Amino acid sequence: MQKRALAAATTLTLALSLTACSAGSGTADGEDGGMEKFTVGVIGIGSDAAIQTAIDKGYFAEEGLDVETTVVANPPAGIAAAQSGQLDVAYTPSIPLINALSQNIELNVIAAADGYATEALEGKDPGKSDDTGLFIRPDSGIARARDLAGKRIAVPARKAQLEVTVANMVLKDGGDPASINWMVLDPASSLQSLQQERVDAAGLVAPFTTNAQAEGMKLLGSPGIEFFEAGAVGLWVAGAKQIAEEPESVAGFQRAIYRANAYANEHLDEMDELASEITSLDLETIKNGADPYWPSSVELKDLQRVDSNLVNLGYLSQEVGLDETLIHGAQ
Amino acid sequence: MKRHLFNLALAITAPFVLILAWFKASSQSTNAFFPPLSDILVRFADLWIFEHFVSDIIPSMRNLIIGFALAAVLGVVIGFILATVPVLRVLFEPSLHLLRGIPPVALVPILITLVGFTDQMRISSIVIAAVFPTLIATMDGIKAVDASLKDVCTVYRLDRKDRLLSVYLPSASPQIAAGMQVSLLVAFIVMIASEMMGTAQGIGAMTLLAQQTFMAADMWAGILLLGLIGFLSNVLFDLVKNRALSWYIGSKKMEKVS
Repeated sequence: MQKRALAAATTLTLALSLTACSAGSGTADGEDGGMEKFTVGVIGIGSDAAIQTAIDKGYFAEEGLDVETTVVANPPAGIAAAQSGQLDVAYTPSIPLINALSQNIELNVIAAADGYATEALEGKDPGKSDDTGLFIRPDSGIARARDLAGKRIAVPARKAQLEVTVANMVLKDGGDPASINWMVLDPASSLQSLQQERVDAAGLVAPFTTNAQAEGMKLLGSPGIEFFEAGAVGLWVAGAKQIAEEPESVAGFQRAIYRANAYANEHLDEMDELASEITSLDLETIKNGADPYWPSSVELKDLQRVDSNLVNLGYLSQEVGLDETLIHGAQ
Repeated sequence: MKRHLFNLALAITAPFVLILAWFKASSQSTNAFFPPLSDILVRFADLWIFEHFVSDIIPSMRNLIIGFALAAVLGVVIGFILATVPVLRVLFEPSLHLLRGIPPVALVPILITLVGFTDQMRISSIVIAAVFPTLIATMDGIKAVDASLKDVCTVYRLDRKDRLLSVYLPSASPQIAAGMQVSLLVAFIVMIASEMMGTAQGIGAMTLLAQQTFMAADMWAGILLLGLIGFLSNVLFDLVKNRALSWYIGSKKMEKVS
């Protein structure tokens, strides 16, 4: 009993001190030549090649930023760290961002991290533009998205990008997404469970999409591009307080990232090599996957579309209501 | 006796004082991750009484109880056999210590491959993780049986069966109970971890989902419930233990007095 009280006291103190920390911790000024230390949370995916380029080519250094990347476990963890000032900027896809905004977490979008080119939807092969894919067994008897109603579908996380985008495919095709039995599985278990007939379909992210194809699984659709259509999907976000405290650093980060994004789109082979280093996958797997795209801006209408789709699909009870103030530097 | 009552009063009031302090300190909180305790308690009532009681609490508790019961029985049986058959002990003891060193949570992905992600997987991961503390405590308890007790057995010419079941096992039972208590704790941890994959059902799964969708009050409500269940299961275990081992606790008291 006494031990428990002690443990509770420790937890409480920890919780309170965390609250205190989040109230006002800025980034310490770097010592080396007036460079500002700037920490960025990434999730270790192929599109991180652009931020790596900005580091390697000195784009950040030119803005007086000493950028250091840290791999965080998942986008919600990155958002929590950015909001509290543990990270200056974090990577998140738009869906977790809108989930966070709906819970009154104050965040702003700094720049686009990845997405789909405007012409991608009209492109000949959506599988080559979309880094996500919905896979089924070739003999499963599932012919189209609406057949997935009532089936078991594996996704990496509940109420996150793959679940939402697959639900969207099913709804658009006339099926009922509410009847789907979602299974949370890591990508490797997901593919295996699909083969072992423990799930009926698996929503996968690159490079596991390449693995699924290599194992003879059938691509039923490209949920990402169907949902997002075009524009930025992956975003660099920062806590509102962070931006107010160091507007110049944030502006510098934004300029350097867009410079790197433009370079990245022009040098896909170089980016594939970087992506292979970042993800520790062989170059061939990377090249077989979807072609990445780094947008040159974040358009409010693209995010508003996601917001209203989340309501249509029942993931949000009402629209968050996004306006220009969400996107940093856009007036 | 007075001292004892004072300690009891202290033990009961301290948590309440802490909760009150939390309530006060958080009441003005606008931080999305640390909502006021009043919000958390409202969500606690909304979620757990009784909306998710059948859909999430019952499955979690069922897995915990079945998993722990299987682990306790297996632990005692295997521990007993290993402690009384020296050849087997020599053969298996080193590998046992290797196996119990593996963090149980690390086994979840392997179990998914082997048995899928049903309740079967959840129960088996609880059993695999929770069996070791009881097993090892049983082995140690039997090995540590007092030498004079063994002599008495010889003098009374007890046969092997009587010796093992009527003397060795009861004499090891305080240690076995201590092992089971650790098993209960491990079973509880693995119950939560096993819900992080597969069907999103159970208290652990709900809490994780709340965290990932930034429903901070729901997340804290889940954490509170988990803490409460952990605490109550321990209290329940203590009650059963004190009852079953009343002879032992009594004899200890007598020793102290004399």
